[in-house]
Amino acid sequence: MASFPDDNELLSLFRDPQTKEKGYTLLVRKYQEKIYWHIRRLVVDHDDANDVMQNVFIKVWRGLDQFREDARFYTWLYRIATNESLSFLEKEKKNASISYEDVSLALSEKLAAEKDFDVSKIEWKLQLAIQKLPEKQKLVFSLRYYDEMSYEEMSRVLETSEGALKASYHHAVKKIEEYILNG
Amino acid sequence: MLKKADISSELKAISPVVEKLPIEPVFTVPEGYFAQFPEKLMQRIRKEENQDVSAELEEISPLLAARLTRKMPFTLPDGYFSETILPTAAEKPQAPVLPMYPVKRNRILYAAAAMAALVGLFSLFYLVNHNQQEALPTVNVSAELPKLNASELNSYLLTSPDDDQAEPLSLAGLEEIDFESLIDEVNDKELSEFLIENPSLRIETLN
Repeated sequence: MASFPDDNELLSLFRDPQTKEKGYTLLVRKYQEKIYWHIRRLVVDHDDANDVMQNVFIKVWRGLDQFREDARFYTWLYRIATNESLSFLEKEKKNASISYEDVSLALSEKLAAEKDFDVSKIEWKLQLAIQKLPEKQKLVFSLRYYDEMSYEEMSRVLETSEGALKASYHHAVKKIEEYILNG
Repeated sequence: MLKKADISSELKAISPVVEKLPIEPVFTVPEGYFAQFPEKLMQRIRKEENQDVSAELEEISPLLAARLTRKMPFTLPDGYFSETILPTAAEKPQAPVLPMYPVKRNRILYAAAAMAALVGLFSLFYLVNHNQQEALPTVNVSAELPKLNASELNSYLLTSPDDDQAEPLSLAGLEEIDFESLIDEVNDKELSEFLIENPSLRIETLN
């Protein structure tokens, strides 16, 4: 795995007009995979994930000058990615005039359309279980289980209290367990 | 790694089943996607910010980008841009200064204009009347009266008996008139009719 300078160094490069593009490209390279997978787990389809990720990093390009040093860049980036993903799903829901249950079903169908999809494999069954979770529980589970994010950081990303996040995570894990065992 | 261990033990406490599930991504990504993404993203940003016009045109139409020139085919009059066509600061018309209270000031102006108009009208009226009076022709009554015959004079005096402004007959040079010859010219019938119509004169005449 490639090593990158720390965020403060990259932000300094970005703020210098001479090295702005270099600093930005390094920031993108450093975080693109994490952000991509976070988005992909929410929107499922690669093309959709690609569109959302481009929008995320364009917002970063335009908003990085106003980024406050007291906030962690990583947290700020996840917040933008989460909001963009939810906006995308909301737009799809409006365009198709479908309910939450239908969104969950549509995402499960997208999963089934994936090239290597095999419902007998536990990893795909886990993905189906995740898609059946309510939106907030899906987010919390994804950030904790895959991104190994602390509740404190997650609290900043999702603007929710740590207690509520812990409860959501607990419920999400229990629902997934139920689906794996009996689904 | 402490964080990872904490998360793992937390998950194990909630659900040992889920804790044993694989966490590797199951989705596939096009080959070279992450290697190309930053450059593609930069191209889009440059395009959106319109920083690289030529690259944008090259992407839309390589034919236009290769063959067209930005040189303008139009001609201009000689020295068009070198001559000063803009007014200098002194020539430049100043922006009008708008009064803070335009309505109040207008009222004063209207009142002044009305007063000036009234004064002007009175002056004009006075001048016109004065000139008319001066322009009236002067008549030499003494010279004109002899030209009138007796009947015209008498008719005038009878129809304007209360006219105090009328000039006394003596002043009109009537003493020069030969009444006898005048009366001779009047026949009896006319005289009788006159006296019948003017009985007061008849009495005076008889007295």
